[in-house]
Amino acid sequence: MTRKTLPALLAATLSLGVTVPVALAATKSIKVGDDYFVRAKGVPTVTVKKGTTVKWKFAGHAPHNVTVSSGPVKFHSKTMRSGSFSKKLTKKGTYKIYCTIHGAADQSMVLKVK
Amino acid sequence: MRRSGGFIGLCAVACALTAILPAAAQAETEQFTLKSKPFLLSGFKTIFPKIGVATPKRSGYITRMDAWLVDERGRRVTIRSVMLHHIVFVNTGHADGPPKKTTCKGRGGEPFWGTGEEKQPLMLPDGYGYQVDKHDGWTMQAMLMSHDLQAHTVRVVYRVQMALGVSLQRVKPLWLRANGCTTQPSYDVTGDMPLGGVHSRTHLWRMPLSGRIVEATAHLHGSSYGMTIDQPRCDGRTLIDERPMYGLQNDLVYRARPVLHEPGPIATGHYLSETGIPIRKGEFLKVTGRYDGSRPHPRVMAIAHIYVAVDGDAPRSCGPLPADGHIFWTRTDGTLQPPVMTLPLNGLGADGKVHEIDRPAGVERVVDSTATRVDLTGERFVPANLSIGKGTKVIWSFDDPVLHNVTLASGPRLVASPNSGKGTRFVQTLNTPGTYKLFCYLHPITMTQVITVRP
Repeated sequence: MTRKTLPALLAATLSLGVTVPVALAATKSIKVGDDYFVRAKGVPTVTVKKGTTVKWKFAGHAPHNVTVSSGPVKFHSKTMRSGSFSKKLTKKGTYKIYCTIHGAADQSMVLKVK
Repeated sequence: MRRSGGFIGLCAVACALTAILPAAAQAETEQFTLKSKPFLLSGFKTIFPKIGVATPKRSGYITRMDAWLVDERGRRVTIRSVMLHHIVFVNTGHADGPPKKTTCKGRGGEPFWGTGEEKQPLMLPDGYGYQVDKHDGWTMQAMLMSHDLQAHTVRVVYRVQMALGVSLQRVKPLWLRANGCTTQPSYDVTGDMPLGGVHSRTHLWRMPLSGRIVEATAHLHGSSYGMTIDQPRCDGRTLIDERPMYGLQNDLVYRARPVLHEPGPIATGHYLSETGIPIRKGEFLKVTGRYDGSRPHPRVMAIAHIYVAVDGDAPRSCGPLPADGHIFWTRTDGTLQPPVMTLPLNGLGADGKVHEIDRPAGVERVVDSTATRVDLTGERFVPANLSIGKGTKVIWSFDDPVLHNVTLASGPRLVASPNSGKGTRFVQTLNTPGTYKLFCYLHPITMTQVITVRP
């Protein structure tokens, strides 16, 4: 009994210890639509603080992805039709982001991390 | 693999061109290499640009012409990224010049050269040319299909060889379709014939002028046996037999993945004769397209492009056909037997990549009524999997703001809707039992449907 509850308790504490700071840290949601980020017109700029977790939510019907073309760190998501992709941004700077399926001319955004 | 494929494609084009363009150009011959504006093709996008394009801005005669796609850095693009499905150049003339007309009434402009996957150049015999004026306007009508999930920006490069400062024998280009002057250049083969059955489509074309056919080529799709031009006035003899050549199994057209449509021929026999086959104004030519009739083939084409040297004195008699008439092949590394292809369905996997799929995700809806509705909404077929009894009427309802279509990948009978917008319906009763694998060719990765028709 004690051998069972102790690890469970430990796991609960550990998971608590991990989730609490994340929950406190800033998160920012960005919509991924057909075929745009945030809004249907122009190239939007989103500014967040260093350490923010940005969550791209795939809300369109067509497949899209999130790909950094230039920035302090390069990352990219899988190509998806639904769901979300999260990335914690720990480096300051300007990230140029686009969808490789629809091309930078049609679907791109700027992410500024301060 | 990718590199070698590209190289083979490049060599094929280069080799073909080396063969058709004489090494030592004459003094009065000039070559113009022109480019269209760039086109952005998102993943698996199909576009139908119909735009004005630059001309050589010279008066003279076009004797040769070809076209291909390049990327933003000017490198040739293979079908692994974007395919030039077809392209037609139309001369719209100029305000003070004669009106330009085509073989079909009510259409403006004169199509003077076109090709598709078969990459047939214009290559008029010596002494003949298509006359253009420096003030003429040109439009380009094309279909470009992306074969890749990634976006690509491409331009059409077209090369025009002109004879300047000389007078050549003028040719009139005539576009003769096996399906006549219908709104759609394509027609459907239902696939209800027994194995080995040949589907023929025939149209009689009245010749608008007297002259001599000095060049002829054809645009055909996969599973075609070819097309013929017969002369009813002379006992229905065959003037020209245009045969398609298909790539071998290892050809890029069969290796490129995903497979989104049945690959077309890699070349079509190109009829050439300096003497020319005489035809008379007012006579009819019988144009017949032949396809495999045992399987369904949506949206096939059989379009002959003939170039008639304008000659009012062309003989009336049905004498022997010109001895110098011959068939030129731009490629010979193929087969005349159309390969049997079964198109797969494709879908986006959880890994973010495109895979062939057996059927789309989702539970099959089993319907027992005599009619059932399918919604094309949110870039999906709903339901994506459907089971119906034989003789059930299926109503596809188009609910999206963008165009969609219902196209058969494989199945016992043809299903092929036109490209349709919001508020339209396409109705077909499925009488033949079997498995119908369907997709929207404008959204081939996201819109798939499997309908099982129970016996």
